[in-house]
Amino acid sequence: MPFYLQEISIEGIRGVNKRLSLNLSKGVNLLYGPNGVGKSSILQSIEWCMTGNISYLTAPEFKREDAIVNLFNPKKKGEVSVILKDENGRTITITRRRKMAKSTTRGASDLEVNIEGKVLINEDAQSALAKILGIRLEDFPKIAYLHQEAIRDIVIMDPEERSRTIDKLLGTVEIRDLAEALDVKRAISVAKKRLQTRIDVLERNKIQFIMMMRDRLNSQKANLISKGYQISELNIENLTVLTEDIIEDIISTADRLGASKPAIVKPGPSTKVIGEILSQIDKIITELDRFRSSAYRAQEERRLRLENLKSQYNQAESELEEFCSYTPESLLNEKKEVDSQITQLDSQIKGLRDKLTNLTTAKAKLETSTKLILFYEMKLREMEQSYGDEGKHLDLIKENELKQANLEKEIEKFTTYDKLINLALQYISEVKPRECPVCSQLIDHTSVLEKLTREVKVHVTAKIDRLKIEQKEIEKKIEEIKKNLVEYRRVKNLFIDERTRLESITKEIEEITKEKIGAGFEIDSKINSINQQISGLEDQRSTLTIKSAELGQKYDTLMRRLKRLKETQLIIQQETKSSLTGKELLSVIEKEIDKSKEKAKFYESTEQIDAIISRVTKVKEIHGYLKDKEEVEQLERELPQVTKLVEDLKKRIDELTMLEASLETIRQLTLQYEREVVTTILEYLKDSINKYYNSVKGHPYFTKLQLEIEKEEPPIYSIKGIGEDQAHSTYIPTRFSNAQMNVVALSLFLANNEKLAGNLPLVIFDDPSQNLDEDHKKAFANLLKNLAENRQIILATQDESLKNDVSGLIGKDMQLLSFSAWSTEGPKVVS
Amino acid sequence: MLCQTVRTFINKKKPNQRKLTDIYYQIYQAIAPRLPRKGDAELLKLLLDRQREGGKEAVEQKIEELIKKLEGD
Repeated sequence: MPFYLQEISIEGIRGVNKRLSLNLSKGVNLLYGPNGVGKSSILQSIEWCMTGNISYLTAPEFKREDAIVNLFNPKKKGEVSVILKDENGRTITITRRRKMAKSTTRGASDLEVNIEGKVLINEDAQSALAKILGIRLEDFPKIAYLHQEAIRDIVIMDPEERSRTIDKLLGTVEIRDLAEALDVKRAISVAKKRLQTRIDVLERNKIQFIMMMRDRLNSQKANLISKGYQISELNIENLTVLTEDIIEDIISTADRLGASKPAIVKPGPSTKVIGEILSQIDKIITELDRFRSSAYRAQEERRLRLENLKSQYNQAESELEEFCSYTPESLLNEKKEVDSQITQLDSQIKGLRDKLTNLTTAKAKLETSTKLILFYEMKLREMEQSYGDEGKHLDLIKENELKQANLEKEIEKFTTYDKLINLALQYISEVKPRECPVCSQLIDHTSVLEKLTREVKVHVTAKIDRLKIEQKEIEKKIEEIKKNLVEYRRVKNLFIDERTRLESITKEIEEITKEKIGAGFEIDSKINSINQQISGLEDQRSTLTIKSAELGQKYDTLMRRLKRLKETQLIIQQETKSSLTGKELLSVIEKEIDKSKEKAKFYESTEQIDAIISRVTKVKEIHGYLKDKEEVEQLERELPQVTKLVEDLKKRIDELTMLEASLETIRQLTLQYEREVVTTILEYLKDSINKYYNSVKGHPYFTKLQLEIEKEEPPIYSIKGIGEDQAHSTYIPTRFSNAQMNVVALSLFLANNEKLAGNLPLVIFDDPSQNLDEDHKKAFANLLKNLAENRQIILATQDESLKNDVSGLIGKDMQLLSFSAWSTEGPKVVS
Repeated sequence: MLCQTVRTFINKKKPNQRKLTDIYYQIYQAIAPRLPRKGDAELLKLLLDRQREGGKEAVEQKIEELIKKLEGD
């Protein structure tokens, strides 16, 4: 009996976080709401519960995280339960659980099925369900679930991807995948090439190398024999003995040279050990020769040093011969005496210089004083020419003062007269008398007044003014004479003072020159005489200075040479460890030089070391030969292994060839099988496809669909539309609209569902109205109505007109589940 | 015949391996009898087993492993 999906309960899967339980009707269930509210999550949860897988979660990003378990679920796990019920009331509860994994494709899920109280797990549950429902659960998507991606891929993908989608719809995509995965010719060819390269390298390098080494060894042996080696010598025992002999020789040579005893291990009968010892011997010989060479240089350096010291000593002695009449003390005393004479001369020169300075200064003063006296004399004469000497000046002053006194009296007289006139005038003008008060003569006071005023008063006033002017002139003259007298007295005093000073200077000069100044005395000749004396003394001083310097230099040279002799002597004494001096010391140094010569000659010879090197060279030749021989023998022993390795690699190539052939055979048979299966399915579904194609309003002319395999590798399907009159056909992508292409996808899916639904007549549509116009939607709604007669339908859409069409046609029998919004808790059902 | 390396590789069965009962079983049933060599059927079974577990990529990975095994890396 057919089952229908009665209830679904989802928690933690895809976009559903909190538990969401939905009861479904047996007929049409319409999940309606805008995009992104979680409708597809509910449909995918049904698919996952039935199959453990969700189709189309195959992009690379799905491998990087788990897209099945809800991201926000606090338990990080998901569970879906589906309850199926048949007409007899039998129920099957299918429950699938999963923990969040690192990837969508990783991590398993657990299936539990409860059939009337009997609980089955995983494979047993799967087998039991397949038996009851009559379908394999993995076929569930192709039979019952039309994904929106399948419709989209049919419409927009290229032929290869479209063919893959058709394979998905037909349930043959796994065969296609297998055939594609088996196409590995290139990878195997690359692997075979790599193996062949390894074989080539081994054959070319290893085997040819061994042959070359063997040839070289033979020629090496022939070369040794030609050099005089016996075949019996070319063995490890002989090599060990020869090496031991060399070691003994090195030790005794080191002892003879005075070097430290070298530490060398005793050789064992092994080329490796002897090889190491030989390289050690090389180093020791190098060190020994370096020691010898160094010792030789040391002796030579000592000999040269001693010879040089001897020569220095002889030279120091010969340099002292020219000083045989001197001693350092005699030279020093002689120098002191000369220096004392220089000091005396310095004192004399200083005395003369002081005298010269004083005399020169006195001369300058004398000249100045003389000039001043002449100047004052001239000045006095000039002044005497104006007013005479001092007595004359005084007489002139007296004379003028007398004149002044007379003028004074005259002025007084006229002033009195003036006063009288003024009184008379005042009287006349006030009294206006008719007669003269003195003589009583009749007068005309007016005319008297006029006459007195005009003649007498004018005359008297003028006289007084003239007398006053004269008085002022005399006063001025007296002042001038007095002033002149003061200046005359000052110059005369200066003249007297200068003459006193001149006398003092003269005395000073007389004291300097110790000579009375008289006639014929010339100060310049005195100065010249002193200058000549100084010059003479300086010449003497210069001669003595040179002599003193020469004596000092001689003394220094003598001291230096004596010091050098002593130093050289000291070095020789230290070098020869002797306390002798003079000729005895020279005898000792000569003996030491001879000794160094002998030692240097000993160290100069490389004979002993050369002999060892020569023996080492021979041992090395034998060692080289034996070592190469061992290597060649070792390589020859390894040759079978190389050959075996080459054979193994060749065998691997053969095996890869066989694998390639096997995979190719399987691939060809897989492709053949796919053709057979697809051909069978298409034949089986042909009528059904066309029935649905026409019921959902396909192309108006191309009323029949024909699916064929057009190309076999990889399989490419052609979907052609055939005209009703069979006159024309067309590839659907070339002439079909997107809506018509959508109808083709629906037809394929529904044909599958019709033929393979088994006991679960369920159809799930996820957004099936993509690209459909209103007419097509109406046709699709009509189809749903027909399908609902014998199928349960779950339809998710955001298309309002489709919703209205479907609800209009189906009415109350349709269950509408509306979703309003999505949150991290999951979809929200509003009705 | 498949070489021993591949044969040994194929026979390394995983624990809890499921029986072939699905589309892969159908493919095996259809192709295996037509294969000329017995070992090829074993190889096919191995590959289908892997495809069931991990799809096409798993088959490709398995073949790659086989090639590497034979190459001796």
